[in-house]
Amino acid sequence: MGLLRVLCARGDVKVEWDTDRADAVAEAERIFQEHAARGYAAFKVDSSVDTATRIDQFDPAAREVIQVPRIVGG
Amino acid sequence: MLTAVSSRLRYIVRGWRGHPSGYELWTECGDGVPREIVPVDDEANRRADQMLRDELGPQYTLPTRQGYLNLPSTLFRNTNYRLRMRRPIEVYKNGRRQPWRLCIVSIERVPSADELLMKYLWLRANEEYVLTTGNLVR
Repeated sequence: MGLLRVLCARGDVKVEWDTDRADAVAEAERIFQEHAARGYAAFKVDSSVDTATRIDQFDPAAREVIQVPRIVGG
Repeated sequence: MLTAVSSRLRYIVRGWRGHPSGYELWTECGDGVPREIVPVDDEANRRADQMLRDELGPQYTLPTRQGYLNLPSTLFRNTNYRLRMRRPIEVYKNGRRQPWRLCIVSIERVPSADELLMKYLWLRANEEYVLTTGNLVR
């Protein structure tokens, strides 16, 4: 199972997918791409957030992916 | 990228660059473009809090108990970033707080717990990007 969490004003939106189900993977990827097109950055989290890595492409094999809105200097 | 980082580090060594802006002012981010304000309700805060708990594990209590979370730099020795809720990132070098802070904001409003997690992720995954993107504020 993979998990995509997208941070937004509502807290986070969770999308889970079964890696054996192509339709579920495709739907998770569609949501990922939709947010990526809006400038969201994505991080792949394997064991913990301390080892999070930045990704540009959806990884269906990832345990967890977190997408966050773009950041700017405040 | 190295040029951008070294340029930013020159600013850091010299001190404050002198472009403060309202950190809490969500209608105007660094590029001055007005944004849509989406209200953050209690349910959103509860979800964000739960996510922060899930992701930080035992470290989760630190931001509320001691008011901050320290993250060691992966680029510089004896340097720590101190994350607080809804505050710019404080930088400590050899245990001494620098006279400026790094201000980064999300272009979309997110609950404060999510914002802390966002800074944590960026600092862990791409510290250079935070240093080159953030504005230095007092």
